[in-house]
Amino acid sequence: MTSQTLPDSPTPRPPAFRGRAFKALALTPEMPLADWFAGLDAALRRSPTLFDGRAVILDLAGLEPEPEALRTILADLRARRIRILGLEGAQEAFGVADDGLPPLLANGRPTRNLDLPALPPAEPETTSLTIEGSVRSGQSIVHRTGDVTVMGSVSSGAEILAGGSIHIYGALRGRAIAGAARNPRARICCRKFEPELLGIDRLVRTAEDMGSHLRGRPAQIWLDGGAIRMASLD
Amino acid sequence: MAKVLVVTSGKGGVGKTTTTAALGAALAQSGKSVCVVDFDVGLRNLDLVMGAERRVVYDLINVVNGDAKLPQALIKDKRLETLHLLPASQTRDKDALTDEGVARVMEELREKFDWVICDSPAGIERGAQLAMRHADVAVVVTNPEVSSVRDSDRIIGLLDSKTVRAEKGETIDKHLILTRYDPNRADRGDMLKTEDVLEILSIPLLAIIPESQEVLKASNVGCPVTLNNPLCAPARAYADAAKRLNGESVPMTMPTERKSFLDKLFMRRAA
Repeated sequence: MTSQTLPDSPTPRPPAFRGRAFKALALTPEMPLADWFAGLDAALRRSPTLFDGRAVILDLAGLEPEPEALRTILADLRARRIRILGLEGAQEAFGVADDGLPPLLANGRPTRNLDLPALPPAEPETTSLTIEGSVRSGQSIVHRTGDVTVMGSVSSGAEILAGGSIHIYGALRGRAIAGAARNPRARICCRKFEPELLGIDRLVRTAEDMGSHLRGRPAQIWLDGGAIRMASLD
Repeated sequence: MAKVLVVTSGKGGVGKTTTTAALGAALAQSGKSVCVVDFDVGLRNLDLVMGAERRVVYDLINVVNGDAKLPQALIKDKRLETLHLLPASQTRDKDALTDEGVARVMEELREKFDWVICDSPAGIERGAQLAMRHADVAVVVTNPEVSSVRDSDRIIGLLDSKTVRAEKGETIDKHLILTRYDPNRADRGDMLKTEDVLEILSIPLLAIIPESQEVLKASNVGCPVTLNNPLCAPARAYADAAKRLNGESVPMTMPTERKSFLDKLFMRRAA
């Protein structure tokens, strides 16, 4: 491919690329090649236009020919008016270079051995934290990288702050703030709903604004269109 | 094997010192050698409740600082031979206690006694944390009202994190003593119910001490309630608690005052 400088034009438009899909026939030569070509010739005698105007792929997976043998095969096919669009199942490593040979394909797409790009910076690892007992008044559990599960209760005056969801298998009597890592899909679930404060993704609600209909019941709290929603799990 | 027990609560005025004296006396009555240690440096009271305030020469701070030897500071009770008091200093504050000094004194006490009972100061600061630091067993004293329950919850969190046992990854036995319990007021709903307190704190119940004039009477005469009037309701409840601490299985009852018919009639009118 040669690079060229585009003449100055008042509205330089980038060239348009469009995808096209074709059905391609795949030919899979087998050893011994003489027999295989004989079979091919027989097929061409029955149906001389079989390959006319068709895209044909040569599948070399079972053959792995030397470059010279490959050139011979391609020449023999050309002699039968079969033009090969691309090579499949061949590896650059076994010598198929690009001088005059059809391009290498894999799974029907053009392929080339690629240099792997540098990995993108690792996402912060998501971990979950399980607390065996209860979280007592005055204790604060801050876990910004994932869910927090408390097997016991969260006492009045205690707080849990989680990047993900919060699950409490006892009573929630303290504060629970889920989705602190800007995660509006985080939830809070507890088996006994008596919280002092609830928060999901920077939205908070204090006990005073919660009403008493859920008090003492199993409940879940989630975010719905920017509003905190609460419902019984019963 | 000596056991160090801390009597703690977070909140003040719930009955830590009364409980320390009563449990100390009850355990000593059962034949164990007991030392009660006042950790409330600067606001000492245990010496008064034990009736030993006029016999204090050296105190905990002197022993911690090495100014006096432990036997010089220990005050032997006049009523019970196996009961001893290590008083706090009234003229100093909690900063006078050093971590190493307290550890050394507690080690020495462990060698001498079956039970070492530490009376914690109120609060959650250094004084309270030093009192609980070396404990094997904790008695959490709580009144049946919300502020006391929440403070106790806070203290239980500290017991599970700031004690030597917790730092070694071991557990510390925690027991609840519910004090100033008035069955009549609880029935009327003026007071948290026992079940509610137990549900919030989720530690085993050691005793329910009924509200009683006997407690005040005993501390005014400087005598642990279990010695002053062993038959009164709070004394019996404390005695049962001491038995449970010694590993005996005693059914939990709600001790009530034995009242005459006239008393009952009078109480009802008053209420």
